[in-house]
This record gives sequence, C-alpha cells and structure tokens, in this order.
Amino acid sequence: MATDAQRPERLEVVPGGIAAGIDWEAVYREHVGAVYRFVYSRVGNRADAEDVTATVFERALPRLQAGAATLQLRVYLYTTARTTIADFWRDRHGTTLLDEGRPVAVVGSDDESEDRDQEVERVLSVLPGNYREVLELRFLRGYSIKEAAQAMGTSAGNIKVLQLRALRRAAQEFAG
Amino acid sequence: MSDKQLHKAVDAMLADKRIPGGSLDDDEATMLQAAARLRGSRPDAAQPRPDFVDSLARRLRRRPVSTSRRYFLRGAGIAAAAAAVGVGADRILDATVLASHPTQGATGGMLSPDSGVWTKVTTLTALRTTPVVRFATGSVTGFVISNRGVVTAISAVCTHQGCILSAAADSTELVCPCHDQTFGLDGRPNSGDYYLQPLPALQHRVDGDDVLVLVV
Repeated sequence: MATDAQRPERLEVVPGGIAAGIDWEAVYREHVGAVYRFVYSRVGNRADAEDVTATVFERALPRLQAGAATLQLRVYLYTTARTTIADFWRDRHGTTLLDEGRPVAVVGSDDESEDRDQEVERVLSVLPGNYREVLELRFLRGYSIKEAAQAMGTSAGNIKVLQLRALRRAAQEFAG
Repeated sequence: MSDKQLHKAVDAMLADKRIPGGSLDDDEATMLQAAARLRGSRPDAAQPRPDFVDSLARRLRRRPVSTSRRYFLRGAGIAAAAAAVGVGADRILDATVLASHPTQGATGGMLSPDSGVWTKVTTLTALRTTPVVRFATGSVTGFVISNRGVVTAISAVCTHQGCILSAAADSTELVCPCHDQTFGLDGRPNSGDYYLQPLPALQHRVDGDDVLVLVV
C-alpha cells in the first residue's frame, strides 16, 4: 500500500473500473465524507476543513471527470489532500506538516476513519496516565479547563500546563 | 508564540474555530496538529455539513473543464511559457509537441478489419446533444465524433498501454484514465509526456440518421 501511495501516477487499471458515462458527482459524494474527515483531523476546525476539502476536490476534479478507477482515485485524493493540508500549514503558519514525510496509508476499504482512530488510540495508549486523561477530557470529551481540573482533582493552572506537555508528547508519538 | 498564545490557539480549536494566524515554530505546530488529530477522532466529529457537500458540488459543476485541464499537463516550463505569452497552456503544448516530434504523422492509419461488418453505433440525433459518443462492439471500442457537422470515427484505445479513453466533460478532448494523457478529437496525442502514435481512424458511413462503423 505504501508503494501505491508514493507513486499514485503509476497504478494499474482496474478492470471494469472505467464506466462509460462518468458520473463524477456520484464519485465526489462517495468520497467527500472520508476526505473531509482526513482533512479535519489535520486542521482541527470546520471552517478550515471545508476550505481545504474544497481545494482538494477542485484540484482532483479532472481526475473525477476522467473516471479513474476507485483505488487509483482514493490514492490520488489522499495524496492531494496531504499536499493541500501541508500547503495550508505552510501558508497560514509557516510550518511543516506533522507527518509530512510519511506515506499516506490508503487501504481498499472505504473507512479511512478506522485507520485514524487506531493511530490516535495507539498514541494515547503509550502516554503516561495523566497525559492521556487530560487529552481525553479536553480534546475528546470537550471538558473546559475548570471541569477537567475538577475531574482530575487538581488546579486549573495545572491543567493548562499539563495539557501542553501532553500535546507535545503526543505530537512526538504521532510523528514517530 | 508564548504559552498564552498557544492556549488561545487550543481554545480556538476546542471551539471549532480557526486558529489565529501567525507564525508557529515546528514544535507548536505539531502540538496543534496532534490536537487536531484528537479532535478529528471523536466519533461524532468531523462529518461534513450537508450544506457544504451540496454547495461544493455546485461549485465543482460550475467549473469550466478547460481551466481544470491544466492539471493534466506536467512541466512547469510549459505553464510558465504559456503565462509569459498570455495564451493557454494547451496551445503552447501543441506547438511544443509538434516541434519536438516533427515526424509524427497526422493520423494513426485506418483500422480496416478483414471481416468487418457495418454496424450501427449511434445516430446523428444523438451526436447533436453529445458530440463525442463512445461505443463498444465485440472487439472494437471507439468514438464517433461530430465536429462542426463533420462526423469521424476513431479508436478509443490509448496508444500508450491500451487503457480505454473517455471523452472530457466538455467534449473537446479524449482523456486516458491511466496516465494523464489526452488526445485531440482528431486522434492526435495532446501532451508531451509520452511520445505516442495517434489513434487509428475507423471506417464509417452515415445512413439516414444512423452512423455505421466497419467493425468486427
């Protein structure tokens, strides 16, 4: 799979993958949810996720219209998404993407979110307990600083310090 | 960015708002990206709004295919040359291809099967609404093309590696799904990526409203 992702332009033809009348809009609707989730998980908010997703599909439209085979198109969409997300971080904040150098893992299944959840779970599982807890409370369950402080039996100031330390450590794990 | 600003950025993300602009160092950026990964993994999170999905579909529908077509072209030199003289990249490309392949013939010859049968593949009526019609018989896949009232027929098999071409949405060219190769409606290859033979022509005739092609 990694090989496919690195060389999206050299994929073989899938027999029967090319329909005579290309309904690119149906193909778009089939993929837009997964691409949006992929993007959201890398920009972190709705407005930017919508902008970046729109750019991905604008860039990929000729491929959609040409009727590329499904796997080939998925690889192309995620590769394009990665490039567009990297552009976003560079243009907006002058930085690189966390996992920029790594190949995009695209599997035959339609559920990209499954891979991502596994990655997040892996990272959370290797963190120290209090790091994991503060990240779960704040970022997965949406607790305020105050609520998280109560839940963990500590001060708001401690939560603030702890969440940054936990994010820094999680970032290392994601990048590693 | 100070820790205070970093907290502001985190708070913005938790409120599903854009992170305030401005430079981040790599350490800060990766922390915010890790936060984004966590936010995106919430089971109820990150579904696109139906309104967004619909409005993007409308935007894509409105995009002219001719401007999108530049994504098929490789080589910054060609794009830069086109920008410099203010004409479309496709025109420059035509000139580039012709200049670099001066011996390339205008046609790929005629496909004339030994035991061909005249077979109706489309109608003039159909060609009036869809000027490029693809057809497949048992052994031949081709296009019937109506270009300013002149009907032609050519093979739909890419001369690179044999993938089946499709008509571009605006019916101005034939697109290979495999390698970003396009052909003009006259069957000549459009791009400089590969040096390809033109598409073979097919024998065809018009009988009343019917368009027939000599195929097997």
